[in-house]
Amino acid sequence: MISCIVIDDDDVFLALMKYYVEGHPDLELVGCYGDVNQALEALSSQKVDLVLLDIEMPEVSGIELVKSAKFIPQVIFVTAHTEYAAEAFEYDVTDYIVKPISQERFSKAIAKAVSTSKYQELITENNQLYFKVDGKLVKVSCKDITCVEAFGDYMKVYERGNRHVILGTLNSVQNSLSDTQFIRIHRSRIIRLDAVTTVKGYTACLSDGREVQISRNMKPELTARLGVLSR
Amino acid sequence: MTQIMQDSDGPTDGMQHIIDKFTDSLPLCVERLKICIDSVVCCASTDVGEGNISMQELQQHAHKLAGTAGSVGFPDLTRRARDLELLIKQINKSANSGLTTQDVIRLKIFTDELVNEAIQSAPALNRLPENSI
Repeated sequence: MISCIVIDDDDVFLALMKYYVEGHPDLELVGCYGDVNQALEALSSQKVDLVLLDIEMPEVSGIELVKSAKFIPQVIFVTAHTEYAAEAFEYDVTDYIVKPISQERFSKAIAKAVSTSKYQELITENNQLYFKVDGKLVKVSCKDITCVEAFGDYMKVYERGNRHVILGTLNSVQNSLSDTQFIRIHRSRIIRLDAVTTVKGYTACLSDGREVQISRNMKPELTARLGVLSR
Repeated sequence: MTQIMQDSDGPTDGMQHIIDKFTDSLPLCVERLKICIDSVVCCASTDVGEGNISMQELQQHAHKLAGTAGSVGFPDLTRRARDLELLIKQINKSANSGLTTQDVIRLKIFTDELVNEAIQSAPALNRLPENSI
């Protein structure tokens, strides 16, 4: 079961989402929220796998929530705005549904979330990740991964000079990688801390020779964590 | 007219409850639309600069209605609300120095059409004379 919350400032729409979620066999409803602040409390205090999120809300927009949250589970935007779609997908969201919605469209989006979630369950075991590549399961040891990069619905996983292209979101992999060994340095990149050889400005050089961009927001955390490691 | 997934006996109790909740919300929505359009018309005729604020509110109400109505089985209401929303976007794009008379007339017509569609969709509004809202 995927635990999920719904955030929308429209009462009627919230009731409709509740009805759809409760009627879906793969979903467990954890809560419905009319404002983002209440939802943030829920996100920090209980296990949530999926957020069904409106974009235009009075206090904080859905996009701002995804942008600012350090960790956010899978997100499906449900909005009457079409103009935010391109930006939304930059944040690694699972789907983007435009209101008015049908139950079929809702189910299609949930099927995507379920497949990502099953994939997530599949991949972690004893510090090994199992990726599905060309229909085969490929085992990769976490200690050999230097970097994971998102692009669209896929990720590139770099390990010992190999590059695997796999289906899935960066969030799902981030959940499976150790927080002490890995860090997200950009909305589309995770790196292993001890693979960093040098940091030049907003670029990290990795032990496999790759250079990866660091976002302005994440630079202080990366610097701090590298400092902790070097002591 | 309501068009929503139904089994042979009509919508389920749960869905019917949501449809009722939506139609119950329509009188307030109609009232807000009327206040906004009256304010737009009034500001345009008296050259008061607050017409844009009312038009923005009108757009927000139309936008919200467009998203919700079709999701609970009122596609005609969504279409009318979407038409109004697009008209306001169009006016905002082209308006350099306030609303023209033509803009105000089109806004009034589109809002009235949306209000009439909402009145037809809401049982409570259907039972009342239109002037009483």
